[in-house]
Formats: sequence, C-alpha cells, structure tokens
Amino acid sequence: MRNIFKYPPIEWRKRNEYVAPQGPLYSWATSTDISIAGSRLGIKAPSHSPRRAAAKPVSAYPGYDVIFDSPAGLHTDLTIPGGRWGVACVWSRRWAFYGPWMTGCKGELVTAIAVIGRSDEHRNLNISFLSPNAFETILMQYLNDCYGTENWEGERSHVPRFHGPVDWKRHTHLPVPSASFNICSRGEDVGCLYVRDHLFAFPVSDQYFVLVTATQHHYSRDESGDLAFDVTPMQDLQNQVLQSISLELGREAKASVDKIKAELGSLYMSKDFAPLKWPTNIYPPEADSSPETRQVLRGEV
Amino acid sequence: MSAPTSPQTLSPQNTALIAGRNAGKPIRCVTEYQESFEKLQRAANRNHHWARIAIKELNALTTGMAGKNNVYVRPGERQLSTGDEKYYVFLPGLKATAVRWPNDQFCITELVMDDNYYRVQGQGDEQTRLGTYRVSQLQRTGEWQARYVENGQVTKQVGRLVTVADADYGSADEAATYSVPGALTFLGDNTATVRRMGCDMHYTPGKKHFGGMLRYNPLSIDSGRSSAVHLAATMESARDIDSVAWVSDFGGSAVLTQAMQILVDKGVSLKGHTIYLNRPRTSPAKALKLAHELKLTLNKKFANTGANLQGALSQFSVAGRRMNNINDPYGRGQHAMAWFKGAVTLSTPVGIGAALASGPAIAMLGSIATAIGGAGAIYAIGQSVAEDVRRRYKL
Repeated sequence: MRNIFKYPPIEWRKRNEYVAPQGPLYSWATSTDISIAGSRLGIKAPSHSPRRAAAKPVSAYPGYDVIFDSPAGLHTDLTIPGGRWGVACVWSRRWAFYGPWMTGCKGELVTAIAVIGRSDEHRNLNISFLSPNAFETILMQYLNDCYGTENWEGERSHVPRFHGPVDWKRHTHLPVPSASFNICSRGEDVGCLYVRDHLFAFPVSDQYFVLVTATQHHYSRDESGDLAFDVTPMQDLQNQVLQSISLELGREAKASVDKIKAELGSLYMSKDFAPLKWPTNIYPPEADSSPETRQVLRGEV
Repeated sequence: MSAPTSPQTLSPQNTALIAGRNAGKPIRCVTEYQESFEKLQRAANRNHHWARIAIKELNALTTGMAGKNNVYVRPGERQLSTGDEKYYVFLPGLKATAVRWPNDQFCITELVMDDNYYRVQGQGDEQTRLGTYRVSQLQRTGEWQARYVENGQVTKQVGRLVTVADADYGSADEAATYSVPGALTFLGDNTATVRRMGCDMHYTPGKKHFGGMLRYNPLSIDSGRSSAVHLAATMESARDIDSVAWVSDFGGSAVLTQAMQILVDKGVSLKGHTIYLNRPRTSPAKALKLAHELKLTLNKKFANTGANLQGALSQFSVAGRRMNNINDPYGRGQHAMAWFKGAVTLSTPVGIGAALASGPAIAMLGSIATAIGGAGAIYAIGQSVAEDVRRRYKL
C-alpha cells in the first residue's frame, strides 16, 4: 500500500510537471505458485491495481497444471502470422503509478507470464527446449514470428516496427538456461527507438518455455515529448517482481536437464545475441534497385 | 504573441501568398507564421497523412466561404475596426484564424500549431499521435496493443470494427486497452473475430473527456474538431469497404458525430456501414439524424446510454423519426420496450435521489426498485448504475 494521502488514485489536478510517482509497495506483495508441466514457478508481486477497472488480471488456480490439466494443449495464437505457436497467458497484473496530490496517473506497469510451445502441427519432438542452443533457436524463431513480422505497412513496409533483442543478459539463478532482453519500439525514423517490452525467457520442459513480459506505459510527457516523471519507482517494482521469479523443476524436466548437463557441460545461454534482422516478411531491395528505393531506405525522403 | 491585426499593417506587401496563386481566391499568411506554415508543408511532404489533410483543407479556402460554415470552419466575431469577417479553422495539428478582406482574399492572422504533431523523433511518439491505429489483442499478455497507421486507412475487411476512443487516455495502448472492451459490447457475445483479427481505432490525444452533462451538444465541442476532420477523411476513404461498424466509446461520440456532420456537408453517403454509441457523453439524437442522412444501416439499438437520464431523453426525442423512417428497423415493438425501460431509467435516479435525501435506507432503495419492476429490472438497474459509478470514479 502506498501513501494513500499524498498519492491518491484521483486525478483532479492533472498536469505534466516533473514528479516522482508512487505505485504499490513491494513489501505488501504476496507469493503465487503456478504449475507448468510438473514444474513449479513462483512469483511474488503486489495485488492488481490498474488505473481503470476494465483491465482484469489473469490468475492461476492453485493446484491446476497449465499443461497437464488442459487436455487439448495450448491454443494456437492466431494473431501471430503462421500459426506456429501455442500461447497461454497464465498470470498477469497491472499496477498504476500516481503522482503526488492528485496530479494524475503517470504510468502503468504490466507484467504477464505466458507459457509458449509450438502448435501441434509444428511440433518437433527431436529437440529439447531445455538445451541452451536449441532454446536460443526457438526463441529466435518466436521473436521473428511475433515482432519481426510487424512493419509500417504501405510504402514503408520495409521499415520494422520493432528492434531487438537489445541489452541481452544471460542469467544463472534458475536451474534452466535463461536470458532477459529488451524489445524496442521503432518509429518511422531510425532515431525514434524506445524500450517497449522487457522480456525474460526460460524453458520449463522439453516442449514449453515461459516468457515473462514487463511493459511500462508512460502517460505523462512535457511539451518537448520527454517523460515528465521519474520512472525509477516503476523500474524498481519491475526489477523486484522479475527477481522474485523462482523455478522448481518437476521430475521429468529434472531428468532432461541432468542429461543435457552431462552432454554439454553447462546450461548457460550465449553471452551475446545480436539484434535480429526485421522485418522478416519482405526482402530488402539490393543496391542495384532504383535510386528512389535506396533513397527511401536511407531515410532521406 | 499576437499577430498584427490593424488594416495598416496587413496588406499584400507584408503578407506571403500561400495558396490560390494560379486560381481561386488568394490566401495570404502573416509573415510571422509563414515559417509555421512551411513546417506544415514539410510534414505533408514527409508523407504525414494528417498534414496532407490540413494542407488540402487550407487550400480549399480558395473556393471561398460559401457553405463553409461547417464543423471545422467556424465564423468568429466581426472585427469592429474594419468590418472584416473572422473565421476559425480547426484542422489536425493546427488551429488557424483567418480574416476575410473586403476584396474576398483570405489572410491567416494566427496559426497555433500543436507541437505534438511536428516532433519527428520523440520517445513513444507513435503512441500519442492523433489518427488511426491497428489494434490487436496480444495473447501472451492479454493486453490490447495499438500500432499507428501512417496513411490513416481502415483495414480492407468486410465488417471491420472501428472504435472511436475518447480523449483522456495517456497513450494509444491505454485507449485500446480500456475502450475496445467497451466497444465490443456492441457485438454482444460474438467477439471472437475481433479478438482474433483485431480491429481499428481512431485515437485523439488529450487530457479531458469530450462532452458531458453541460457540453451535451456534440457539434459545439471545439476540442474534437480537428480529430473529426481526420476521422471524416478515414471514413470517406473506407466507404467502399462493406459493412464497417463505427463504434464510439464514451466521449468518442463527439468526434464521431462531428465527423458524420462533415461527411453530410460533403454529400458523402456511407451505405452499408453502421454506427453505435456506447455510453455516449454527447447527444445520441444528433448522431441519429446524421446517420439517417448518411444512409447508414442501423440496428434496433443505436446507443447504450445506461442510467443516463439525458441520454434516455435524447433517444426518446428521435424515436418518432426512427419509426417514420422505413429503412430503420426500430419499430413499435422496440418503442414499447424502450418506454418500459425508459421509465425504469428515468425513475431510478429520481427514486434513489429521494431516498438519499430522506436518509439512505437500503430497505427503502429496495422498495423503490421493487415498485419499478421485477427482479430483472433490479438486476439491470444495479448493473448500469454500477457500471456508471465505476466508469466515473475509475474504480
């Protein structure tokens, strides 16, 4: 609970002066356990407190296994072109951050946990997601399908809407290979890049991985378009929530991990991961194409 | 900084010609604002959809003022010193003040540019622009994501849903997350298509809701005019797509109604399209009259005004017009039902008000609700009051 007197969820004096907003206190956070294919994922986060009530949280039922207890498996995500991925959001929260003395909502932090696997027609039983090399390939394919297919339509269909992964960081605190990185949103011009999604990915079984998405929505800007508030409180909460994620492997997954560990020696993902070439759905014209096209590509028009 | 307005300083010598060089009435601009105008032109050359609309509409002034007293060109007061007529022009990205000289030339004496539009590079710039957005629901987070569409066109898909969001949202993503679920109530239970294929959204950045109890006439709201010009262009270019549904949410009804007025003035008709107002904050009666003129295909229910007294009255005021229109499916059956429901809507706030005035006793509230109708009515009242309170206080 934040200081409700100084930072009430009321917006009677909305303004864009530079302030430090306050969101939910992390010391009031509660732990949740989610069962995924026999493994147990733990996360500690404050309760759902969005800006408007229309945004509902997603919660996992205790004792319900996301994979084992849904006989049809994951539903294919048809919003991603190709239909190669089965996706299920198993947990999500939204927290609003308010400025002092009723100066309005400055931003919202959304954190969601999704379980992702290849859809039934595109499953490959020969590879295990738990192997770091295979997982890198799988992650690359997923990012290409999910973010790489988005472009600025029409005349600018060669311009991607997203750029990433950037700030790739591998982690060793989980018993499986894991990495976190950012995906940037990209405007029509190259200079317009800003971090949109912070992703944390790790496999939980041979056929499924978990993708934790943290997105900060910023609502308050000054005349020049810069943020008019301190994002540190949002960033702190995001870090605390992501750091609280723990994973306890099930029997089957543990056996797989031990086998891979014996084969490869380590479970670390690679140190670096270069940004992918997006958009994937068009081929950039070569240098011998028309001068106009090249001009457009250089961003001179 | 105010522009010189005395007749001595304003003459063809110290103003720049910006349009009507070859044909039509010349349009001049005070040199002070020539730079702003060139900035607008550069934006249009960079292929910014809204800037091209603004340039086109400014150039349209060369055809004179006849019939231009419309949504985005408003007559102002006559200048006392010279008797010149003054006009305010509301366009995406700018608000211009033009003076008509006695020789029928126009001179732009003031140009207020909205800086939000001209930033080429800004953090999250494509999230705060006025315009059309593609909206889709991300399955991995359950959130609605909005992506700016440069040319402002609606996706060419039969039966496409286009929502018109209210202002008062911090970003287009937020507008999508909170207004698309509201607009989906129009589709009833069949929301699977939109959740799969997404929809389009017209977003207006701003700090305040449009409309409200005291600003109930959608055509007198100034803050929505420039947005309406943009939406009208989008609607006009979408008229060949079959069965597009334009659904406004909350204050978006002001923008939608103004855009419809622009189309009616232009003589465009949108055959086969439909509109719906979800919890409008402006008069649904005005929108209905325009909908008839645009030859829209309406549904029996045209607006969801909830427990709003003003909204219920406004809908009743056009019931006769709807019943007389042979193409409108609203008939006597619906009207009888609307009378019953309307009686409930009207008497509930009155009853609750009376109960509160004489001490809020739950038993008393209950007896009023029971007197009005059966259990179904109580449930309906409870739902709509709760929804209204939640919306109003952002619970």
